[in-house]
Amino acid sequence: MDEKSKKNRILGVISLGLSIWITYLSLNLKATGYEGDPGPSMFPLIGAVILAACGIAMIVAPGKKEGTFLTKEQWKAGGKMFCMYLLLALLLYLFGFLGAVPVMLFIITYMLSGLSLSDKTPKQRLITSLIFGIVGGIVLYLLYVKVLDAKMPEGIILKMLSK
Amino acid sequence: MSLMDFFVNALKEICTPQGILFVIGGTLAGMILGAIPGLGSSTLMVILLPISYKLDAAMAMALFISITIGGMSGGCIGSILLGIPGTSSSLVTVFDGYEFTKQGQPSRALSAAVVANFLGNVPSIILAIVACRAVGTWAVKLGPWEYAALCFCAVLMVVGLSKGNMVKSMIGVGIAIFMASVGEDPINASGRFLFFNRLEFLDGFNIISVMLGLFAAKIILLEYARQDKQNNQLDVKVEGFRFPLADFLKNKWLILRSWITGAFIGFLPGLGGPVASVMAYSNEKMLAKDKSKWGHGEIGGVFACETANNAAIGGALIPLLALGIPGDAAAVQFIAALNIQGINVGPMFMREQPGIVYMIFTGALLSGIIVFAFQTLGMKTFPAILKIPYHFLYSSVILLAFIGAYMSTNSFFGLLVAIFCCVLGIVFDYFQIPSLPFLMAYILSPMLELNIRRGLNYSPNGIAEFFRRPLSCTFIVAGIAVLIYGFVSPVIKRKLQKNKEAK
Repeated sequence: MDEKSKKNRILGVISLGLSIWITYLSLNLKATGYEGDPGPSMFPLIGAVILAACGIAMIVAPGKKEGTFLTKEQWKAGGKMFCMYLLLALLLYLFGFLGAVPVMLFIITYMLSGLSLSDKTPKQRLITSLIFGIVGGIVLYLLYVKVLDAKMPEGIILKMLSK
Repeated sequence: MSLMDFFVNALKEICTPQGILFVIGGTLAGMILGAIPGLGSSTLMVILLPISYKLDAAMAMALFISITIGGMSGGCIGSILLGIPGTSSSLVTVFDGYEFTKQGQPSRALSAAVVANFLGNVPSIILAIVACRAVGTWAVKLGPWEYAALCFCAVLMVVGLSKGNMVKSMIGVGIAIFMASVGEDPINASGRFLFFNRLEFLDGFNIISVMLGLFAAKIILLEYARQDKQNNQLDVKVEGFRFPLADFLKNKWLILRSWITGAFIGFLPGLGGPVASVMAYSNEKMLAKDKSKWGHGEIGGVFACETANNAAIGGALIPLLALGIPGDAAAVQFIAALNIQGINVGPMFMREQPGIVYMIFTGALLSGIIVFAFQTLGMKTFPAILKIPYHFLYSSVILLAFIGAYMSTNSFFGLLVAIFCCVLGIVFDYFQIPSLPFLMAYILSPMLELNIRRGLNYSPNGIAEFFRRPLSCTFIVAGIAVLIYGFVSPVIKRKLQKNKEAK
């Protein structure tokens, strides 16, 4: 079995599994009791049927091999960026908007500057990113909190400290 | 109120400092992001969605349509100067446009593209104004049966006409239907699929968080993973705009044909600019007397692509505004922006919200003129646009996306949904599941379910009523026919090819 057909068969199995799970969940939903109404389970069941049919089709006729999606190194780099997303969410939760935004703006800018400022030294990139993190953080704070009057996460740690 | 009154009112609103800022700023920002390969104007629209609730609905729409027009017009800059399309709609522009840059004539291709952008979008908006009035008058007569059938047809058309594996597109639709089912039941408002008994699921997965994850977060993650945003060493000198009169006169019929193709393709759900430009380019290449020049610096190739993808904007506005059916990803964002304002887009939209509809038209026309003015006067600055440092732009987009995801629900649930959808987007890309059918099905699912169930409740004939009504039956049959065509046509093409090779 070549790479593509294996990948598509896996997709087929996932679709089928998802379909069974949706069917199980849908059948446990209570009917509305209105005359003629098929109830809340009808629509998700349509989704389950589509997934089941497509899953079977993928398993039976998986198709031909195509190019690689990402190399091992690229997966690692993508994973690093995903970790940054998780860290951003965590910092927002713990330290709120004020604590998380400048720090993460600095970290992510520095990470990305390795690509677009490859001709600069790490120290130059660090300073540029630091300035951007601080200035950008202040600008975003003013924009969202002062101009738009939006409610931003306060952070549980900062909240506790302020008490 | 007459048509003129609506336009005058919209113009009055736009001619305020805020309106001018939105239309000009939106157009320029869209053009810049449209020019930069990778991001596209849709990313800007997605990150602006959460803050659009602070704006007046009509003004928000003027801003969004300006970004759309600017983005579509800016896409050609990257295609011509870098050989990398700024947006997928300008992919085919690379074939001939970049050849001119290699031959030292970037200004000729850019001038042709600028004229094509204008000739593509402004007349298509005028077509949309005329067509929307006609379709809107007819659309108010649709009952739940017809509307459900129309949504059904639109989703199947996206699947049937989209490129790639159709079974995979249907998997995207299945997942969208399930995800859209999470939350309140549309008939009796009871909770459905409240995982871990969390009440956050009662509001479902917010469309803004879904799009922020699926577009902004995923795009930047993959761009970083592929490490293809190296420092741009673009060294092209662009002269000022010169009206390409000789090229224009030589290609006037090509432009007209491409415009018709673009407007028609734009009207069909799920196709939009990318397919319009490919279709127009293929048609014109097929009709050309000397095909050998195409792909090696034929100015007609630039005219065809850029006229068609811009004409698709007006075409896509017709089903969006008259029926509430999105034609492409940008139209989905329009619906999301209107939903934030508490406005439901559907067959009654034209009648209930004429102010917003005409603000979109007026904003689009003005934006088309602004982009033409800027591109003719500021052509020399195009290379500078492509040198904008990615690290500042991308890190800001990530932060704005996550803040926006939080704002969309005012809780961390929105943020978690965005992260989940980022993973979902990567899974989609890994398995080559196209995002557009998923997105279309996700946005249309609530309307589809509500109207199917209303149709079943209102009629004693049950499901048969959908087939007894001529219009509803036509939509269902058309949708299924397009889907079958999508499955069968590649098989027939392969067989014909084999027969040809055998001969």
